[in-house]
Amino acid sequence: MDNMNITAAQYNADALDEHNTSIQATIDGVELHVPLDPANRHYAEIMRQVEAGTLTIAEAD
Amino acid sequence: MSKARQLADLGNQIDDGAITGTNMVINGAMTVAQRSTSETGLANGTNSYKTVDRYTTYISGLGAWTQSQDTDAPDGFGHSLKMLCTTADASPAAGDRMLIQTKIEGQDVQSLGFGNTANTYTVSFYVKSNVTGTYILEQYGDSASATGNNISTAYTINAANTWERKTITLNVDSGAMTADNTSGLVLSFWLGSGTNYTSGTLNTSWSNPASTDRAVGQVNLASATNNYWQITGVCLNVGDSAIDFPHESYGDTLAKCQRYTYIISGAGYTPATSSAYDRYVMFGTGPTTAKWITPFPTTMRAVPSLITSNFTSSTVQIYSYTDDASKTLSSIALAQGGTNQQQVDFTLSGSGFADTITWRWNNSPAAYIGFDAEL
Repeated sequence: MDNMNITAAQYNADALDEHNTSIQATIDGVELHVPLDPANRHYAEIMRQVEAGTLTIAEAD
Repeated sequence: MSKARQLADLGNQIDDGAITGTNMVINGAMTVAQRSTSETGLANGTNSYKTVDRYTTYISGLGAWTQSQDTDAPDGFGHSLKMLCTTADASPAAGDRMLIQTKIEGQDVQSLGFGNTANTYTVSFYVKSNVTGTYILEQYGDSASATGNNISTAYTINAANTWERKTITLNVDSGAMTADNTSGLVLSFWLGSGTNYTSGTLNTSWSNPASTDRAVGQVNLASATNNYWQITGVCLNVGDSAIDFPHESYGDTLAKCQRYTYIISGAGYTPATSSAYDRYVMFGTGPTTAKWITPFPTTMRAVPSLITSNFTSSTVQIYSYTDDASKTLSSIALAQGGTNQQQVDFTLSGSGFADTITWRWNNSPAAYIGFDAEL
């Protein structure tokens, strides 16, 4: 219905094969690790904001 | 026993509330609050689950609030959800608003018979406020194959500081509801609004209304500090009359809530050596890494997010059985998982490789780690 307040989004990567496994972000003041699953409401909103150009996800360290 | 006697007995059982239907609202009695029992400073930008499970809070510009699971409740109930105004906004901007929502999966409201407008359902709840007047309950058919329509219903709080039961009966919308795990029916309790949502004519039939028609008449609960609104006994049942609220055990309600949120709380854990504590097993994958594979108590609605609050080296103790030594938490990250379990990667400091490691809370009353698959 309404935008979530999302900041500090960054991918987490597997230490062995370095593929992205989740997105770490602060959403409405709470730190979350979000699975890369479209059925997850946080992931769906992150992708919506990325497509809208209002959010960028940093690459994994 | 005669048929007449049997019918009379059945009638008495119904009158006594011994025969009730199903409540489609989870945690209607506000008994479960896994995340927290009180959150202060809720203000502009709040759009998430804060205290009582299954109820999300949306605030756009309308004052500041404390939300709590309160023990003040009507006869027969032990808890309510309370919104207390701590910073007033007597003159809301046009786009301001505040809502408390609960959302039900589409597959769990099929018995309402959306698609056949002859079918009815009834929403009932107990409400209390110091601010009397008109309030709005808006409902939204949030399903892909439904028409995606809204309908708003006004209810009145007649007496200040008094628990009142409200009952709202509606015919369903003409659009069918998709039977899946996505959001189906949404109940939105409005508590205040600017003119963007109040300047039209209240939308009292299922439709896709202008925004100005959504909350016409809604009082401004933010008009003064210490204004409050409380709710409990939320029930949604098939048919044109409200059933007696079907109370259930805390354990049954908790199990239902855990489909959407599973919290392992540090609340109540004093230093681990002085009280009972749970210990969670991981396995080491290197000198400074370990994996915690945790099963969920029930299958979750969707693959959940990992959520934490104050999960740090000062609130969590990590112990290696392999080398009989403590390690220190540096960070965690969600790795892989599904709706039945997830794998959390721990990064640690401390010497020596460890095959078997555990973590436990340590004097961490405000900490939690959990999994969120809310709608």
